[in-house]
Amino acid sequence: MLRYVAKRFLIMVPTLVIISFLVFFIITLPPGNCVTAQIDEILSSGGSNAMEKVHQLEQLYDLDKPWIQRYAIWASGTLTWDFGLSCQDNQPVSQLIGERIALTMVMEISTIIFIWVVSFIIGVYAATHQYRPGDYIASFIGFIGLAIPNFLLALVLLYVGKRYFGVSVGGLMDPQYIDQPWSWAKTRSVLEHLIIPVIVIGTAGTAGMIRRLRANLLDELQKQYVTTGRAKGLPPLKLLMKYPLRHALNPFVSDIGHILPEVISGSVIVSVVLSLPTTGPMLLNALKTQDTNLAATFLLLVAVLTVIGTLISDLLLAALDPRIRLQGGREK
Amino acid sequence: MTLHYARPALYADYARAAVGVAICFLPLLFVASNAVTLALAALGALFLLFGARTALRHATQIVADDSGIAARGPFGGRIAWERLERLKLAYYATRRDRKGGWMHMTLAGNGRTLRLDSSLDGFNDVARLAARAGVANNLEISPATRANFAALDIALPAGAETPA
Repeated sequence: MLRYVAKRFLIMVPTLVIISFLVFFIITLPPGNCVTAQIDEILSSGGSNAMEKVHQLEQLYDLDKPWIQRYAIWASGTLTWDFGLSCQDNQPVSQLIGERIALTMVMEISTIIFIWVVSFIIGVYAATHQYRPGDYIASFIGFIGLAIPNFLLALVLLYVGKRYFGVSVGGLMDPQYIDQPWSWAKTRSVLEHLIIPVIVIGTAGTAGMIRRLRANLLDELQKQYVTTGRAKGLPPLKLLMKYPLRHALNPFVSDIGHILPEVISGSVIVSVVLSLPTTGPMLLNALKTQDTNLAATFLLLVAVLTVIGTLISDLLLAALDPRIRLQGGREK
Repeated sequence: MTLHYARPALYADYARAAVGVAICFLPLLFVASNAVTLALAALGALFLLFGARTALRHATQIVADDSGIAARGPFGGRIAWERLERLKLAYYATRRDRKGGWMHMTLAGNGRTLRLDSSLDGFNDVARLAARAGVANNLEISPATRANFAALDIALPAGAETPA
């Protein structure tokens, strides 16, 4: 196992270098740069030294250098957690990211817990009560969750909340707590505001997970060892929990590879719709304004979490299932 | 019979450990301590551990005969077949089609535990001796271990089974 981990970590290094290189290159491909987008504004307000100001900004952001040189500066800075300056607010990228990353992680981790808990309970119930009303209801909820886009659900909840309950579900805290130090009241406000985004973002994931868990568990429950255990008088709960459920949990583990990057990237469209101060809208804006340092840093973090998530998921899968080599589609 | 871990595989592992240590520790010489360098240091420690384990394997010989199995070298030990108390053969695969994985055999008895993996030259021969001893000692062998022996063309007679 140690050899496998070492191999995977060694592969990660060139993978991340290539990803960061490509990301940086692609972001710089469109004509212009982040200062170009501000030129009109500067010209209209700047007077005679407007062009000089533009030139100064380009120097400040290293935009007067070739992109490969800017990449080298940015890439070497990652070792010191210095990702350069963001064009948007003229602030260090690390500072901008740091402000939002904590809230994004709280929201996404809450969503992951919501998905796992809800889909575990409903998935197990649906599989153990196949073709009964509870199974049909769970399947119906699953299909609804899969069919409705998250942003639409967010819009509906925004409307319903405002129209019928007079509350705004947008944002991650009440306006008076924005830019205030953390306090019990602020934490409570964040927790209250988390409920709607967690449900909105989690619905589709929950629906998919319920379907996968139900299908896997049904496969396991129909195997001979379960029939044998039942015939020998094993209590139903013990029979379910000890073996079939353990094998059916593979989708939970394999999803870690996808879930971790989401923790950083956030759910972009839902966050925009619900005005959530997470990293998603910031990434979107960085890409729109060609804020290369900010966008490349986000995408690098997403790439790092993707490769680490995939590694963790592969290791857990191997450890969970140290079973049988399959050859020619059968156990040999 | 005397078995070693395959030399080419060991040299490849030494190379991996060296490259890993270089990649992780070289940047630490040039930048001040921060979260990234801490992560790199932890990763470097992992590669050092990997290098140490490779060296340990390089220095270890596995000697197996009809009376028992011994690991000669640092942290070595011997288990007589008649004292074998636990036998497990696991197959680890990280691909969805469960190919390209490796086997890991755990032998315990006489207060010792030996762990061998399939990169050992002659692993199948040791597995055959271990399987024979497991059957002779009437050990409980799990269905997964049984199936993994079968994958090595080592058939075990039906006997008491424990769940996977």
